[in-house]
Amino acid sequence: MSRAFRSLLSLGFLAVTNFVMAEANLGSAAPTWKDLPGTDGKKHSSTELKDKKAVVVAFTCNHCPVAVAYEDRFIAFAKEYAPKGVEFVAINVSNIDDDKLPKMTERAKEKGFNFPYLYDASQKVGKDFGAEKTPHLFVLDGEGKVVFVGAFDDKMDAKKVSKHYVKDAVDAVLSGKEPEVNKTPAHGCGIQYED
Amino acid sequence: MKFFAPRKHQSGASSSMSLSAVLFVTLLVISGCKKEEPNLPPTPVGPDPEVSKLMIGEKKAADPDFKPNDIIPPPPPVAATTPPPKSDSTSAPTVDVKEVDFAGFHKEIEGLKGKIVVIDCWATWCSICKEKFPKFLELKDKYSADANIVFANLANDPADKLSDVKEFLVKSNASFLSFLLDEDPADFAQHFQVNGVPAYLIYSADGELTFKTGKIEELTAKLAELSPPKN
Repeated sequence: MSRAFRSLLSLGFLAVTNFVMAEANLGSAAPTWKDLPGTDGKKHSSTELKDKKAVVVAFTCNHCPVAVAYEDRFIAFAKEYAPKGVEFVAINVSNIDDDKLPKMTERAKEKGFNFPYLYDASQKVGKDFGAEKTPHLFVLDGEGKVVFVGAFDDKMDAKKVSKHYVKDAVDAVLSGKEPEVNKTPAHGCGIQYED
Repeated sequence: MKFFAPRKHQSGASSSMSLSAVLFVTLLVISGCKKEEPNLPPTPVGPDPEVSKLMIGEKKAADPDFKPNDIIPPPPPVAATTPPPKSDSTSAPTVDVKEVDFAGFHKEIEGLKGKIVVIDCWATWCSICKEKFPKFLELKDKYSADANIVFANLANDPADKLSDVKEFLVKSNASFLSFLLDEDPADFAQHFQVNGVPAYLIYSADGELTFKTGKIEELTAKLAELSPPKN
């Protein structure tokens, strides 16, 4: 067991806030990030997104079967919504070997990701957002305010989806409304924070 | 302070295993098989093996075509010559996993009313769940003296992962109340209003879901509140 995890246990009382951390961001200005390396070989910052009508930030990773189950849906979403001025950004904060940048780059190429896939080895951006799961979705409005937190949709099995939470939230933003559903539980693999 | 110290969970495991073994023997006896379990006390249910032999002897004696060679030596019971199935071997214990949907799960919880039920919700694909599972087993052991608390685990996996679920439980020496909930992980999250697995749930003695968390540390703290450790 890692030393980091021991520290986490010994600071167990602090962890109490973690489970509801995601809610803290709802309605507030989204956390920012700076110079995160992407699978495109470039560095990306949240300032690049200032002119977008809406932004979807997806915390995801390579190794998690739930995250993998959503990859095609993310690609389809990015394709459909890019022309509408919506940016989809995937961020990985997992530091296990299968999730690090070289593997991310492989995966992005293999799947043909049509969106930035960024890596934050410091895990800071994940903590700032309160991301707990992969995938864990955050929808930001044109002002950069978090208007939705949760799951991409209501089924891991793509064939059975009936509620498109993220699409609905983005559609609401695009039509100048508040999303009807602004929070759902996320589901997927737990993000392992190292301290 | 101990973290993930390898521990045996013999108390709960051995009682469940003994119960399974008694049930197994009872079934064998009922089905007419005379397999004997040397490690178990004689079961009060079913015919005594000696009585069975006597009955066979009487039948043979009454047969006009009876020849002494027919019973000397008596053919050994089938089960005695057949190696015991793997699941019956103490070196390869098995676990019972109840397959449930949401309704079935709540029926089970209903059936446990009167006791506090503490559940570790996990999944075969969830590495963090499996990493923390020994911690849950430690809690289960810690509160084993408290008859008012029942510990259970629930794997949120498709039914075709049953063997993987069992394999993990056996490997973890975790022979206790186990469920497999074959529901979409998104539905799981919605249903219990948690961010997926791992999720630790506590049902009160009234059968109400009174506590849920994704952190085993929070579960540990909550249990200490509910029932100060007995040992």
